[in-house]
Amino acid sequence: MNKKDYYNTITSQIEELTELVDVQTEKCFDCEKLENLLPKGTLEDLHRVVLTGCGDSYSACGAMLQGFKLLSGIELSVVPDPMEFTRYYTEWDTKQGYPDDEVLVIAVSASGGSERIVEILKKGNNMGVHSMLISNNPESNGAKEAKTVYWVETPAGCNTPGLRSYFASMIAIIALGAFIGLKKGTISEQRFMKVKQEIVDYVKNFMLDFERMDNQAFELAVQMKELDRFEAVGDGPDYFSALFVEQKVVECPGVFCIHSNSEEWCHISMMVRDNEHIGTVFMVTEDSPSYGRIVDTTWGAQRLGRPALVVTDSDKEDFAEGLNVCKIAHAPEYWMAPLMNFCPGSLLAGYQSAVNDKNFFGGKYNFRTREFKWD
Amino acid sequence: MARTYLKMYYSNTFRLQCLDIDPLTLDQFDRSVESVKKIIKKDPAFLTSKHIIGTGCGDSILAAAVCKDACDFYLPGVHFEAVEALELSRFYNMEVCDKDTIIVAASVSGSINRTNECILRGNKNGLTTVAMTDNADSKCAKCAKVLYHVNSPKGDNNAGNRTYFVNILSFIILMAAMAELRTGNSYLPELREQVKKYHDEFFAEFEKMDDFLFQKAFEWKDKKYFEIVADGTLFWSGRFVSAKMAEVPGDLCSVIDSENFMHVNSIMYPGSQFGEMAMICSYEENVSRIADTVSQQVKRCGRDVLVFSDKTPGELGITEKVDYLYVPVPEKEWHFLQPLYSYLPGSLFSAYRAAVLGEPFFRGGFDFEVFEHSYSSPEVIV
Repeated sequence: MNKKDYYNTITSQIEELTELVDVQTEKCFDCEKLENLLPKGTLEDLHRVVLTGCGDSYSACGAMLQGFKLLSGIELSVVPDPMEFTRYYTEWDTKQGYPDDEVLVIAVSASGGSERIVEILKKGNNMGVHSMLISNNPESNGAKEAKTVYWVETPAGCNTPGLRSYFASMIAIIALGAFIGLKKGTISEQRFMKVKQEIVDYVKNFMLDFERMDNQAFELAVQMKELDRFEAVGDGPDYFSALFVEQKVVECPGVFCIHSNSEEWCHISMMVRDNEHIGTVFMVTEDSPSYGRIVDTTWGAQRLGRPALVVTDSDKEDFAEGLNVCKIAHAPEYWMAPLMNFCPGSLLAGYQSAVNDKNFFGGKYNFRTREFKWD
Repeated sequence: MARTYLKMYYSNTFRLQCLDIDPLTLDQFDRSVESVKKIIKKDPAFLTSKHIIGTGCGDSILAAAVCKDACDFYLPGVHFEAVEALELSRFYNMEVCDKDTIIVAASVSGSINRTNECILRGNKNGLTTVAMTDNADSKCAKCAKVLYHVNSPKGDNNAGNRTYFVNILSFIILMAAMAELRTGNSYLPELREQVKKYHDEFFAEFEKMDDFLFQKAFEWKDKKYFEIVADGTLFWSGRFVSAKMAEVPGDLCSVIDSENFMHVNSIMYPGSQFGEMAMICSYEENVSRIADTVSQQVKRCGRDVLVFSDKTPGELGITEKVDYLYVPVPEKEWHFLQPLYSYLPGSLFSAYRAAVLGEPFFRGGFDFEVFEHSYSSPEVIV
């Protein structure tokens, strides 16, 4: 099988990250833009931030939460799912006792137009707190509802199934967190600029080895061609990388997929039958506080006979024989790993779809012609 | 000729645990109250704390997650979080917590490494740690500052239906007891009355549910994939059902909220191979969204959907043909009691599915050769 015949829009979007990171960090770590998002003095006083979104955007919120908290210094930052926030969060849940002016509700949505995104922002507005839309569409319905719009300015390009927008959303969230930290004095200007540069360096360093990763993902997709169930596992910030990989597995080959963290995997998922038919993707970040635990978990998967892909930045020989270990670049700080560690699992999803001759989105998106065909 | 299947031949220990919740309810209520009264004045944090973190692994964290509403009811203004043990032990920034923050670590066995790690880390940070356990001699019990011994009656706990119930009830009772301590008012007798009321209404329907789910296990015998759609607290009850689907018949079962279903999981196919369970309470704020989602699951995705709810699909606004099982819910004011029983229909389904498939629970029991590297991980970081 020739890999070139299965080239798809996941591969192309990952290839483009090398260039996109320069543009996206410039557009997002833009102090003037960030300064003007909210009235003067607001960012300094924030004590509570609620971030949410739908689908990939929700994953982006979760993936960057750890970094956002660390840089902004706002420990009371949370990522409820969109239904949890819109239909169940009380005023107390949202504000945690802080005055309206010290609370920010952020909806993340590249298109900015979905009904729930508007509802998220409306709910924030009705509570009297600050509302912000992080989006690539400043003309959207969400933009009209939000008190302020953080326009990520992602350059035009193929965005199906959403890797560019996912990446852009993560960069925007972390840039906002860093800028809040700068205003609050949690981090210095030097640190603000260092984070920006580290992201660029990390992405470019990661991409140096893209061809090998891509080959490995393709070969694995051929091996896993018949599998119709998948699971993605990650801890802390990587839990949301796992969720994003799950989303790509669902959107591309359309097969069943769930996600978990390593501890819950050991309590629950490992109990299922037919393990040899469940493709499993592990996100293992060496500097993560749970590194040892998730390494244990990969051994458990190997012993149970799961076909597994281990995505790791570790050079240690900690993994069992028989596991497909995909080595990736080491993230400068462990919370940065989700900026790129979704790539190998996403490549696997794209190729698994292609080698099965399945178009994306339940057959509706032709990844070769890049056209949707609706019923 | 149609075949006849006798339910009695398909009963199993997990189904019996579902039945066991009936007699267990008030017995356990009284046991937990007795235990909580022994500890409630032991630590000043029970009087002053504005932050409670519920934690645990597997079923135990899912029990904590469904108790937020009880905290909101009894302790308004207190920040309740359910944090998975792995998250709390390795990622959570405890250093910034107020010193009277309470960590309630739920583990019936009291022997779970990660849960114990949370206790040790909480102790190190000067927080009040409570081991909510049925094993007073366990490491969690010994390490925590306060032992909340739930003192359950003996019984089969394989796959944890009873212990999940005990954890939820004991959490709720702790909240009510803290409210009594803080206000001087009496709450526990009224709570017992309401639990009994909900219990009586729920178990009056139990046999019908049992028959229906026995039948459904046969109808869905050949389904390859299972999913639960639910929002809010019911999402977490759904997660428990998902765990039982893994442990008892051995099925991977996804759980998703009604919004993200439309963005993501609606794309999984073929729909005809999915058994979808929707958990809906008619007086919750999500009904319009989830009713539309369920309609789309049938119309757009071609899935068979079983709705567990207190109102009919038509009354909920579901426009497509679905299967329906009536599941009683508590009065709206007492909605936080719903998690005590909301998982039982799903648990019953998992029990019958295992029997219909002839699947041993936990794939035949714990094989320490297999579990050596994972379940009993000795590594502890504090």
